[in-house]
Amino acid sequence: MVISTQLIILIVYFVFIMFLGILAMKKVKGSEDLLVAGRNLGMMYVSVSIAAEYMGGLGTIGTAEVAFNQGMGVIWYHIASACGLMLFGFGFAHYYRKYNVITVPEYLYYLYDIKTWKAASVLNVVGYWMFTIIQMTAMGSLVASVTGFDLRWSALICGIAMTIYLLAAGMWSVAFTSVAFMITIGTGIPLAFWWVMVREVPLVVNSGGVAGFAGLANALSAAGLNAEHMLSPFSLGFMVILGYFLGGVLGIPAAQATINFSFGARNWKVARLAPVLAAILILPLSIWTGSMGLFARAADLTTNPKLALGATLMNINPIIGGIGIAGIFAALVSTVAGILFGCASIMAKDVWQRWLHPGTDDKYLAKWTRLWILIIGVSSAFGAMTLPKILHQAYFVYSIRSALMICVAFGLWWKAAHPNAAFWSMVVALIGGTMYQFNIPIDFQAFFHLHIAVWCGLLSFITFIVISLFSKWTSQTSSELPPVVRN
Amino acid sequence: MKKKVNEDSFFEELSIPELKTKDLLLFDQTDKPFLILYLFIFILGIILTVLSI
Repeated sequence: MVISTQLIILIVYFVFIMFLGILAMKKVKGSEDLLVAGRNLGMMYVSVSIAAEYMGGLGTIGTAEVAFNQGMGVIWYHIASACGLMLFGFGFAHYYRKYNVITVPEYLYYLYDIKTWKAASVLNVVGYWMFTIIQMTAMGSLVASVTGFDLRWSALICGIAMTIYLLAAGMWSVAFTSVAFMITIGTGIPLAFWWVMVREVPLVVNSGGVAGFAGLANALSAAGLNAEHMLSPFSLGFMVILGYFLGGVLGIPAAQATINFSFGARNWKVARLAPVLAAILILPLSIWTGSMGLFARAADLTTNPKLALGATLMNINPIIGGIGIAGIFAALVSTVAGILFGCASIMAKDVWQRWLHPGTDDKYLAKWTRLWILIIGVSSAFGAMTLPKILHQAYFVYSIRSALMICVAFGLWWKAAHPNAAFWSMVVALIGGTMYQFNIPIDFQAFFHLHIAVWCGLLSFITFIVISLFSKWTSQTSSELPPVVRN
Repeated sequence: MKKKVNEDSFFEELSIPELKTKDLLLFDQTDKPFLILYLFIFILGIILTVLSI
């Protein structure tokens, strides 16, 4: 292992974050403190926590990977995500907060019935468990770039460290550290981007000594690439961009990990505005990370796209690179924490307490929330050693979430929304997404030319409408519904 | 917040809590330092992006 300046900065930062997370432990007195920070988070805590959670491995290393391979069309990733956050803020957040829910499946219970809640719980746990593995892989790839450690072992160590940090205080750990995360992400990444474009691009052979995107274009052309295409905001093609929008817009309003900070907001007005402020913060991120990924390609720093961002930051000024790496690391930690915590919340609250052990008390819930953080965290850390391809796998997860969002939206705004439709639209999206992902029985992408998010969104949308229109409301159906929502 | 047990399930039925003036505040004194931080990050991001292009 090489002890570089970047590594020292990263270790100091990591210890500081762990200290802050564990410091939050004294705030936890019961399960509500652990799960929703006592519903006492102010505007900036909520907005900064949401933004930090959303700027994860996909938004940093994943976007640099896509830019390395396919160019700057990746900037749509965060534009789409910001649209999703705004939609959640203006259209959904106050409903969730007014009903004092802790999880998205719980809200689906109030909109529909018990079987929908159970299906949503299972779907969320499966999706977020996969997502935790993906994000831990992203953390491992960054640490491997800095330390020179094996990628698999780096992922395992990071995953276990994150589990310990979250065990301390749950949502309070994340909220407490989110301010430090945001300072590091919001200054470290743009600073590194500025340094790369102004100071490093002119030094690349064949850049012609020109800074900025003009110099990058020269270097890409000299490397035998179509610079005009790689720097175009449309380099990914229409269907991929549409997939980003459907993934972001359909995924976020029902994404437990991102929106659970709104559940912890001190009132519904804060819950509604905070995601909009978060959306503004995340908007430019993929311009910065994508440019640095493309720089790694132009300067021939690595042949592994997953390591593009890390390689760039390790090959520039060590102080600036170290601050940039700390920023990326902060983005990853905040996201892994949010996702792992979201998954454990649903597992403990919905599946374990309400479904399997109803009638148990607050002390029991707090204990089992911590135990599920441990189980999911450690198993995901080992899962991360299989190194799933980051962005591709994640869109499978987004597709599952889009089915949940369709159920929430129809339940809120369509009087004819039937509980059977909600249940089956989730089942169909899960089956359709699995078939697409594993090419069973055909290569769906080649045949239909549809992105997986578009495919699953369409399937659940059509299923929901058809079943709602053809399902009859009987006295038995009405008796199964929660009377406070429909009576 | 009123609570009563739904006999058909193990969920507690929830109703929307009564609103008080303090429950509708968007920002309070504790938000001020974070608001300054937010604006600082936002403006720094714009300046560095413009300078880099």
